[in-house]
Amino acid sequence: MASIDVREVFFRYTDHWVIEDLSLRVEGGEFWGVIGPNGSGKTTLLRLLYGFLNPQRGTVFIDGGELGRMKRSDIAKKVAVVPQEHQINFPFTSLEVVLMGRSPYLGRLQFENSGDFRIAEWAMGLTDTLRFSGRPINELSGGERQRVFIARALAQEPQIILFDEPTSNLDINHQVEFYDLINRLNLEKKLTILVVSHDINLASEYCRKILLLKGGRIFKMGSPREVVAAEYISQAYGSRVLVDENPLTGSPRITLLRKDAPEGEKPETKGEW
Amino acid sequence: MIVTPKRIITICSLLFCLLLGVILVSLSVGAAELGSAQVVRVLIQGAIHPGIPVGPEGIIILSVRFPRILLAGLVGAALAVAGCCFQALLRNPLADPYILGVSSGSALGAVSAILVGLSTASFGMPLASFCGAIFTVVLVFHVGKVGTGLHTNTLLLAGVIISAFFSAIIMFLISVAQNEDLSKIVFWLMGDFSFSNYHLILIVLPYIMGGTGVIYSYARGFNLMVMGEETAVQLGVDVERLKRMAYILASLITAAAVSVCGLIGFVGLIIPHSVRMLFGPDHRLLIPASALMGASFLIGSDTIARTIAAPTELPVGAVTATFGAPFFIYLLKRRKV
Repeated sequence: MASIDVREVFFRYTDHWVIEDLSLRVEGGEFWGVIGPNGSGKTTLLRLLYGFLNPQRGTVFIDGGELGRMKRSDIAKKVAVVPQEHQINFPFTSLEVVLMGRSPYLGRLQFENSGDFRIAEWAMGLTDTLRFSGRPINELSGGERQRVFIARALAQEPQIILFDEPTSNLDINHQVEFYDLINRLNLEKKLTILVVSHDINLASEYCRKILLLKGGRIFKMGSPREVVAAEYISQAYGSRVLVDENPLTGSPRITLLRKDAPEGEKPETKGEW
Repeated sequence: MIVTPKRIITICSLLFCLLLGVILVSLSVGAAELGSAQVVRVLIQGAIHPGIPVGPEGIIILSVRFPRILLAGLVGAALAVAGCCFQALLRNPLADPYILGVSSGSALGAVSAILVGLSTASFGMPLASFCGAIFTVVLVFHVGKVGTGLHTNTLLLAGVIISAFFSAIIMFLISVAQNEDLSKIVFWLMGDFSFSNYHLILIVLPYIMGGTGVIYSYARGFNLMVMGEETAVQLGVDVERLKRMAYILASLITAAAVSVCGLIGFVGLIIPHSVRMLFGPDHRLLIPASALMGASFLIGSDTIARTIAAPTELPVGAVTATFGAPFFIYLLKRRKV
């Protein structure tokens, strides 16, 4: 189980700080959700956690090792990333894409061996993608492609998986399937998981810890109950919301309110802001 | 189909046999029709007693046709490999070796050489064209650099703009050129192998072979690269180094190829694309298979260029497009949707 330790990190692309003085500790095996309005620095934070970006100040430690000093392939053996939906113009098959997850373990001129194929098949079995292992990745539906990318991440045999807005292109059925799957991976494989998400309700339902970002700083962090409160959400996003409880699971649940919605009358809407 | 060493060797052996067949046919056709038995005999004689070829067939085959075929094969392989490389670098299967301006730079060099009378000096044209290309490569690289990294979209823009600027200068030069220079310019701009000789081959061979070898050692990195830069980084690739290497090496072999024969279009676009449709996008197979197909394709095209309207020679660049485009359309249609 690998931890993530972010210490006083500052990052900017041009002249203003996108991430400002951010410190965070994610313990091994935890399941975190990162929420926050557009431009709050969620994706930037994620990119800092696997060394795609390097902070101008501060340090990120992965499993105790300083990210800036690690070799790329060593980082890739510990951290896998499931990217946001993006266009791919080259017709690699699903199996080829999943096998790419083995590349941190291969030398430059080395080919995948039978062990690598076994791991790829195992990862595809877990994500229910074996059925279309021979189909080109650019011909799959959004949900299928998403699962192939998760299989690739698993084939890396990482200890940490980062997800960047994984459900933004999925219908509700696939959204739930997706979270059920990563929940299982978190519990059974003890993977450390961090999900950047726009869907506060799903994050609050599945994640054990929530990080709410605003303007590149931590606005609030803690359990879903502590963070997903009308007060914090509406302050961070600048919109009226109603927060109550999911009657079946007890997780906090938000409902968006239109501007002219009536002020709260019912007792359970006392969380409204 | 998953790419394994066995699959690479099988397919490349088949393509190599195809290449040998194309060479044999190309050696036997022309103004003097020779039988393939005759061709083989002369080749064996030439291999046993290198030096001055014997008899008229010997001279035709070993001094005229063979160097021309070798050069066309080398250039075809180089352009196809460069095409693979640029397509991976820009993550766009429609990129070609000329997209970042190498061609306009070498054209400017060659046209200038023709106008100042350098074209009669030995190696004057290749040298001028190579210098022009390298100058452009450096220029585009510096314009396309953002901070310490190469930004592919900026690179693409830089290439297109510099290309347009050089084309304008070439237009101007053409407008003031004399008649006899004009036809030389036109032939160079459309590609021409009629000046081939063994010296030229020996000069460009190290660039093309060396460049291709180093590019091939990054083949798996290219696979990850076309999945997106972030993906490549998270799978352990040093993307900035890969982009720099790909850009510099692909430009270098393009410059070397163009400097000896002028601008031959279509090979660098159609060959990688066709090979991808036939054998899949894995660069570990794509690069060597493209090199072999590129060589066969350009030798074939050049053979047609020098025979179809004999004794007049057509510019080979016109042939590659005329015969390449229908073939390409056939492949597009054949593909399962």
